[in-house]
Amino acid sequence: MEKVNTNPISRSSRTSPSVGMVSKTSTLIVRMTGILVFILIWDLTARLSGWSVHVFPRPMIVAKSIGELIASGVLFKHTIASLFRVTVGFYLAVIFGIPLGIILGRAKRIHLLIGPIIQLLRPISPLAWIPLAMLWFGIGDPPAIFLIFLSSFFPLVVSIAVASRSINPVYFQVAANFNFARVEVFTKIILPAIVPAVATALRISITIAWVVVVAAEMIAVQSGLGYLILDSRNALRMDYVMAGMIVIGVIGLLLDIVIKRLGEIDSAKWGSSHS
Amino acid sequence: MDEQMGQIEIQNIGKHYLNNRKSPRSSQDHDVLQGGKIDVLNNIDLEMDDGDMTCFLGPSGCGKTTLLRIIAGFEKPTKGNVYINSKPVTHPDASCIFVFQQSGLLPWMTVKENVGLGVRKLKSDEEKNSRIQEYLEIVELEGFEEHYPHQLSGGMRRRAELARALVINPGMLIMDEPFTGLDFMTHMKMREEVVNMHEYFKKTTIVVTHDIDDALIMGDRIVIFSERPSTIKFDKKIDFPRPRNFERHPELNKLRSELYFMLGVPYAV
Repeated sequence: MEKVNTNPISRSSRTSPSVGMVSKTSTLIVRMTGILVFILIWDLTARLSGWSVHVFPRPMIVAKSIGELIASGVLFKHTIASLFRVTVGFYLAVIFGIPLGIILGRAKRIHLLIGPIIQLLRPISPLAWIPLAMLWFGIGDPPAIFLIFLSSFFPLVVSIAVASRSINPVYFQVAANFNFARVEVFTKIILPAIVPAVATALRISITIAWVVVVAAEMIAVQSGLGYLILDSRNALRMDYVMAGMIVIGVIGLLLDIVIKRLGEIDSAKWGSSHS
Repeated sequence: MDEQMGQIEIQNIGKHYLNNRKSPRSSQDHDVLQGGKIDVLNNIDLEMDDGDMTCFLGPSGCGKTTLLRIIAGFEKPTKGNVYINSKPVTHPDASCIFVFQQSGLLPWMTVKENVGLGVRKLKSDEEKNSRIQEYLEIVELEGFEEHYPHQLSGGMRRRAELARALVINPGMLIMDEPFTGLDFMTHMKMREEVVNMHEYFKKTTIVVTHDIDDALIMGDRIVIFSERPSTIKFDKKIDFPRPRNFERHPELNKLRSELYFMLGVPYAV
C-alpha cells in the first residue's frame, strides 16, 4: 500500500506480471514452439489418417494454397470485403450501443422500460436473424452488415450499461461538491469512468463480429472470407477451405491486438491496476 | 480572493432511515423490522465558530458520517436545518469541501488535473497553474503532477486530495476519517500536516475520527456522540497550545483517560 511508484508506467513495460520473469525473446520462442508443435501434430494426423489430401490436406499443401491465393489477389479481395462489412457493422453497433448503454446504466426508468427488451433479444443468435435479414435487406452487403451489427450491439449495450451503473457514487459526490455542471458530470465523470469497461467490451464484441461475418457471408454475398470457404467447399478444395480458416484466425488475432491497445492508454489503466 | 467564512449552525437535526434489510445491521436494532424506521440522529444542536477545528468522536455506526453528509448537503435531514454563514444548506457546494474516507480523487485524472478541479473556472491558465503549483508544494507533491492516483502511495493520495480541497479556498473542510488505512507513521505525519495546515489557513474544519488521540492532538473542540439514535454526549473546547504532546500537558492526559472511560474502554490507557 505504501509502495511508491516514482516512474509513471512506461509504454515499454507492457508484459503481463505472469511473464515478468521471462525475457521477451524466450517468451517468443516458447510461443513459436507451441505453434510448431501444433503444425507437427496436424501433419502427423493428416499422414496417419490415411485420408486423401483432398479430404484432410497437410500443412505444406495449405501453405502452398495460401501462397496461390495471395499471388492471384483473391485472398486480398475477400479479406478486404470481410473487413469492410465488419468495420461498418461494428461502427454502427458502437455508435448506437455505447450511448444506449450509458442511458440504460444511468437512467433508472429507461432501464426498467427498455432493459427487458434488450435481455429478451440478447440471447437470440444473430444467425437466427438470417431469414429476416435476407427478406428485409435483400442480398449483398446490407444483410451481412445487419447481422454483424446485431452480434456486437447487444454485448456492447449490456456491458456498458453495467459499467455505467456501477460507477463509484463517491465520484458523483465529488462532482456535486465541486459544482460540476451536467455536461461536466458526463464528460469528466461518466465517460472516463467507463473507458476501461468500454475497451474490454469492444475487444469482446469485435471478436464476436469477426466470428459472425463468416457465417453471414455464407448466405447472401459473393465475396468475403466466408464466401471463399463456402465456394471452395463447393469446388471440393479443402486446402482453400483451410487456407480461409487460417486467414480468419490470423486476422481475428490482429483485430484483438489492435483493440487491446485501446485499454492500455494511461488514463484507462486505473481500471485494471486499481482496487 | 474574497475571504470565505465558515460559521456553522446545526439546529435540531433528526434523521431516520427506512430499514431495507431482512437481517438486522447490528445487535442494536433487533426490534426494527423491515420497513421500520431506524433513528440515526436525534435532535442534534451544535454551533461551530469560524476557524475552529472540531473533532467528532463516537462508536461506529452512530451517525457521525450521516451528520457530516447532511452538513455537506449530500443528504437531507428528516427534520431540522443546517445553516452555514446563516444560509440554509440545500445542496453540496464548493464552499464546503468534503474529503472522502477512502480516496475521492478521480482515478482517470492526473494529480495536477485533480487539484485543478477547484480552479478550473479561472480564466487565465497562468493563474490556474500557479495556484495548482502553490498547493502541490504545500503538500509536498511537486514532481508528481503527471502521476495518476493509482501510482501514488496512500499518504500521497490523501495529501493530493487535501491540496485539491484547499486550492479552492473553501469556507470549510469536512474530513471523514482522513487517516483510515494509513500505516502508523504515515498516519502520524498526515495528522501533523493537517494540524499545520489548520494553523496556517484557519479553515473551519470538522474531522470525524474514531481515534481519541487524533481528536485530542488536533481538535479545538471535541464532540462525542452516543450510540444510535445519536445524541451529543460530550462537548468541550480544548485550548492547549499546539504542537500538543501528552507528556508535556498532563491535563491532556487526564482528559484522554476520561474520554477512554466514556467510550467504554477504561483500561486502555
